[in-house]
Amino acid sequence: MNKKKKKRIIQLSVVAGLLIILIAVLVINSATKEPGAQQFEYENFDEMEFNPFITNEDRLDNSLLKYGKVLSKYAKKGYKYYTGDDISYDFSTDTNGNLTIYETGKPETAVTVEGSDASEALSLFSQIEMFAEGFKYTDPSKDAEVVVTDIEDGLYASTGKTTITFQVTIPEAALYSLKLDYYLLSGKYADMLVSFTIDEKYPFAEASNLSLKRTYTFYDTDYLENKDIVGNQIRGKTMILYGQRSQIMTNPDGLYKDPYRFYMTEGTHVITMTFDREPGVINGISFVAPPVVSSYEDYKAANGFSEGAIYKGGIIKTELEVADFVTSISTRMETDGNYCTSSDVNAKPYKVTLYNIFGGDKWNTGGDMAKWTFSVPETGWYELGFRYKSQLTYVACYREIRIDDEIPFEEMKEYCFPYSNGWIGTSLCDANQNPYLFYLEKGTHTITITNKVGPLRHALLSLEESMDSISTLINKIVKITASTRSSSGGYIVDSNRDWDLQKYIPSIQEDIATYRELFDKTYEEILSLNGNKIPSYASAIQVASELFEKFEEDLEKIPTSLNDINNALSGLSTTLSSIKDQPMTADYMVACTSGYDYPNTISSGWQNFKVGVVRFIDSFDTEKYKNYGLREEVTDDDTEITVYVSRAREYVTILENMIGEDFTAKYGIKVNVNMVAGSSEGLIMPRYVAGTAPDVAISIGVGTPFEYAVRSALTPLDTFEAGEYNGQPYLGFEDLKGESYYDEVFRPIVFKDHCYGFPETQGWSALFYRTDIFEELGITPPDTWQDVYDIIPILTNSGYDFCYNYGVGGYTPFLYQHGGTFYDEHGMVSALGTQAAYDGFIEYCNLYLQYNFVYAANFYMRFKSGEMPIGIGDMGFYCQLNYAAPELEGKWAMRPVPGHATINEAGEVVIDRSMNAVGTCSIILSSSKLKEESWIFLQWWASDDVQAEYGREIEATFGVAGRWTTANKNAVQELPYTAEELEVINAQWEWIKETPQTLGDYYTSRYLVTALNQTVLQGQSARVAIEDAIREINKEMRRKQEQYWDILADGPDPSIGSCLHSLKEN
Amino acid sequence: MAKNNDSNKKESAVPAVQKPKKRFFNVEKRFGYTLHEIWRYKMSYGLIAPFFIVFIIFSLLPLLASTALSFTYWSILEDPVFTGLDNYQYLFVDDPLFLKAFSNTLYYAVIVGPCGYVASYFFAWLINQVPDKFRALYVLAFYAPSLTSGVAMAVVWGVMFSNDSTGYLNALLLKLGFIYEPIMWTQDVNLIMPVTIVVALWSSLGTGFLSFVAGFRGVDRELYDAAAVDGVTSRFQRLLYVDIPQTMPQLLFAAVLQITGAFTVGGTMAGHPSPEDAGLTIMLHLGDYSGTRFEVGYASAIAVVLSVLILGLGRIAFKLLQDKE
Repeated sequence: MNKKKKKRIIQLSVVAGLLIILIAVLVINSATKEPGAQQFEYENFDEMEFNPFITNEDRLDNSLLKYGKVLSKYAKKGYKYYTGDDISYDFSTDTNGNLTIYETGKPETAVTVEGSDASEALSLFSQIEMFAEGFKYTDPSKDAEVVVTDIEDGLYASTGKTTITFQVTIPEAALYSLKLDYYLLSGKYADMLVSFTIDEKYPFAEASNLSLKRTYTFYDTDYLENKDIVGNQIRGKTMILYGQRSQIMTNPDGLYKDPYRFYMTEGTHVITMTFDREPGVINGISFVAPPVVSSYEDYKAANGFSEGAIYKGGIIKTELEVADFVTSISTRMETDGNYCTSSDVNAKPYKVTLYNIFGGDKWNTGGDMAKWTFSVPETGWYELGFRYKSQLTYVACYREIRIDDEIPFEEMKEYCFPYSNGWIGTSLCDANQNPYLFYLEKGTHTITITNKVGPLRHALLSLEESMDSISTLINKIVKITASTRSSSGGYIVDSNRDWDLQKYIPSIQEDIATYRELFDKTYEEILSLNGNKIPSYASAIQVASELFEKFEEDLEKIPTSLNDINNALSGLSTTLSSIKDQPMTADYMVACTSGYDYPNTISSGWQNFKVGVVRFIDSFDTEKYKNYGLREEVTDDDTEITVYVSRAREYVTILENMIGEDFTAKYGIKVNVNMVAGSSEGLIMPRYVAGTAPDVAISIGVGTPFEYAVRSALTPLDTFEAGEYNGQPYLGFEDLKGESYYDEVFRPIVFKDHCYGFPETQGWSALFYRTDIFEELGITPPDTWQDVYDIIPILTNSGYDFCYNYGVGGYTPFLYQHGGTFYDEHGMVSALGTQAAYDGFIEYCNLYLQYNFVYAANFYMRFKSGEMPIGIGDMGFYCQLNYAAPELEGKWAMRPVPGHATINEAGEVVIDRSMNAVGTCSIILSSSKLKEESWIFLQWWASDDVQAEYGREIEATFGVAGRWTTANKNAVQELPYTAEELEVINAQWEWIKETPQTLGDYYTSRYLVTALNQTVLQGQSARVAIEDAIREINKEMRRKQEQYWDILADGPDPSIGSCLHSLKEN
Repeated sequence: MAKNNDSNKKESAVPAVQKPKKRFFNVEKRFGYTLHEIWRYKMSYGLIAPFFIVFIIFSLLPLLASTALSFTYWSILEDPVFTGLDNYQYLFVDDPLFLKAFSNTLYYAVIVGPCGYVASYFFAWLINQVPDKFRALYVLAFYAPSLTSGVAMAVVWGVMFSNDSTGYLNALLLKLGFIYEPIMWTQDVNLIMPVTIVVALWSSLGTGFLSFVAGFRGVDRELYDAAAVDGVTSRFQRLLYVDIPQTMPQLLFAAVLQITGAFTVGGTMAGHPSPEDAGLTIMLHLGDYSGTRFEVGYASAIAVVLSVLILGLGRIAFKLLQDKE
């Protein structure tokens, strides 16, 4: 009996324990809920305060002032808005064929337009021969060429810079806005850059940096049905949506609430406009009355609001995943696995991949616009609401909302979507949580949402200004304390000395106080504008404030804390870009009756738990992962090749989609794409030994093919000839290489007359410099190393440094530019002992010994701060500048790397800019049974179109930060680089020189580093160091050659192959 | 059956009353007899089997394979080629880097081995004095560093010994005015090994330390009383006359671990390749040949030499510390 009781107790306690666990799980899961996002009150105006660190800034010329400050000046003077009709201008030609401009409807007012175009003289669109039969483009959705003939004629702006100058007559002194009508022609998926001056002066500083936005759309009309065999949706691709557009010029980054307005006096004015980067037709220029938007009360009154007119029917739900158009290729449909996320597709979002939401991390950039269509069943007053989610913790998102292209009332100019912890469904409402009502007539409407920075613009500005001013202060202090720099770039200050800073900088005490107050104020502002929540980026401001508080108490701490100030500044510069980063995700929009209660917008704890369990169980379903991205079942009869890719999931998904859509459809070859972690080299070797190696591996380092080829594990690719497969022609090795790839890139992947890999990616290097600092110093960027040595004293005098990479990579260009090589022409012994190589070595070492270059520095941080206004950076640096340092836009430029003047074969003096470009390549394993099929895949992958398209897709996913580094020189031209940037890249690539691989080559870099360290760091004789290194290198090479003597016996050229004749001659 | 009983003395250990069983093995043969004995103690063998199978597959077989491969040239991708003693000839006569690696490893082992060993014992003894409640906490605190080796080495010590003025140590020395230029801790040829040793000592309280802690727990409390009666007065004396003799098995176990650990040291703070090979250890040298140079045969030869070295030192440790009863 007792035993039974015990048993019973145990049973009960087990059940109770399980229940407790279950409840705990539910509680934890539902704990993610938080009361809905609360709307809050915020002030909003465009006028900006003047810089407290510059006296009399308000007296500066408008062309030097930010727009917000110009507005403040206008406000003081009480200028009124122009209210008359638009003053529009059209283009035409006179009898001589010169371009003229006239007021719309008055051809007699025509005056000649002066200016120039990059390609030829200024001309009308209709005069361009290429467009004689209209503008043609390929529509990928129909795979057909579309001809547009009804483009209204106007100024044709080509890819380069087009400048026009003309006179206008203004009827009254007032504030005007500028409106442009345009049609962008096919280009590189970028916006057209615009700038304009009035009477040779910018009306405000930002007038130099405007843009005309391109529009994009999805081309999969049947995107709902586009799935793989598992049921995962495949994301439609984005294509350019061509069409006539018009735009009132506004800040391209959404910094200001209203479109730009500027003051013009009565009478004639000279207007100059430039158009750059993308080709297009400008078919209308108008000066218009600045748009005025009424307040919500007026809006209600004007549309005759009455309680009875409020819509009473059911909700009208519009899925937002497919926008009519977007202005950024990166904002598009994304996937979300939340239980409650809805979609037009009938499937559970947590079981398969569904593209069921819009936006995400990439819907964050100010100025980006998206437009949707929806319709309402009856005329009346509606609440509009969204199911949305903030992407960043405690970051509110500001958006402009237009209905039918008009802003309905003032509050919609910069509406704040308050931070929500997870998904939330809520109507647009005012600070008291009372929903706004919108008057909509029966029928179809559009809603346009534009990203804005919002009132945070003031915080942005004051931080930017204080940072500039603090940098200047640091420079002043360094001049007083005469601090030196350590080799790593930090300031070295004698901490045992006292400086009476106040004696030299009398205002320092007040300045420090001003900074501190400003930081505190900005912090408060950010707090209130995010609904009293503190985003993580604000901590940098707190740090800076605390630091300056410390200085306020004791000025003596400043000289010894210069490095701390610099760290604080770099933290603040991250804050600058974070403030603008306001990403948001939207699921659907509803138009509904007043007081509608949103059901099921937030998944419950139980639903989350269910999703978790289903996904966990699904993760054991290997079949599902194998079929991921396949459009058809693979059967035994199919030819299927296996490809290893060691790239991130997104890269692989895009590749899989392209294979399914294009490659398999065309050649009928199935491809099993395997995403392998880390370096695929490490996985391929054991697989090869075990006999289960893949057929193809892509994204392989260029050093690997040689090592594998020596051990006969690879298939030579140069033997592949052009042919046909399944009735589809494919290219041979020579055809593919000939026009699209640089010969030099093949150098490392050649072994004994054969080429064992095909280049895939290839970086580039360039000389980056700060144009603003160079202008200030009055120097030009260097073209040769001699030029560099000439400007070094000027740079050093002002406390600036040149950034150049210390190490073997830094020495290589010097070696090549002096005419040296790493190995002799057979690749059998080291050639570092030649006079040319030695000269290069000495010159390189002198950069550090004589010119005191910094060994190791964070070029990006110091380029931004201006301490290193010039240096050699690679493509990663370029992407970083573009992505993370938008505040530097227009303040830097790039040029090909400096070189050495030499005389070429034709007897001309040229600048030898030889440098290597690091890349990856693709290989076919020798164990592959499907060699021809593998080659067909490789030639498809390496072809111009595929590389260009892949580059576009990658850009759409990652933005400029992930720009595809294709080695295909034709595909690179299609990437959204500017014309000037492409010029630099092409010029640099002309001088690509790659290092051949040979037996035992790994010793070269090892012992070169030793020789460099001995010479530069330890001050030993360069000749001795080099000779020691060569002895070791040759010994190892000899040892390796002995191991492979039978291979070398029938022709001792391990590294240079006759398959590349052009290389052999070099 | 009865004949077997007569011919084998050991068999008589089986109680005679037991029914004669069917024998699986011919116990007259020596091998058969062994198998028979194994069968008899099948329970014990069954208990050690999981370890033994894993040991054979992952330790013994690779060791044998490695020994066989050390007489060949093998680039992994091609078949091995028999080359006799060439690898050993190159190793002992021709390879200057092996000497460098050997001396670096020895330098490391001589300091980290004994110091770590003594430190382990000392700290375990100290912790043994701590009241039971807090002991686990202390053990965890001392043991944790050896668990977090890889990541912690890179993060914590990387910041500590950073080559620029932002490194903790450099910053401190700069602040105190001892140096004017930051020291290149992980790049200076003379500092690489010392820095590595410092970091290694920090993380040297590993499994050996745990075994000591357990060993001290296992010492019979009554012995302390007995020792006190015999005139032991201080804790140090108690350590000398009671604790050390009582923890001999643990001392041996830890010594073997310590030797193995010290000689198979892999990465140093300088990474690989290090300036002038100042941070080259035998394991790195081995990895260099098998990974970068595709010479697994030679790498195997290095591995064999290293194994022999460790085995030899292990024997010495056994001789010194084994129970002499």
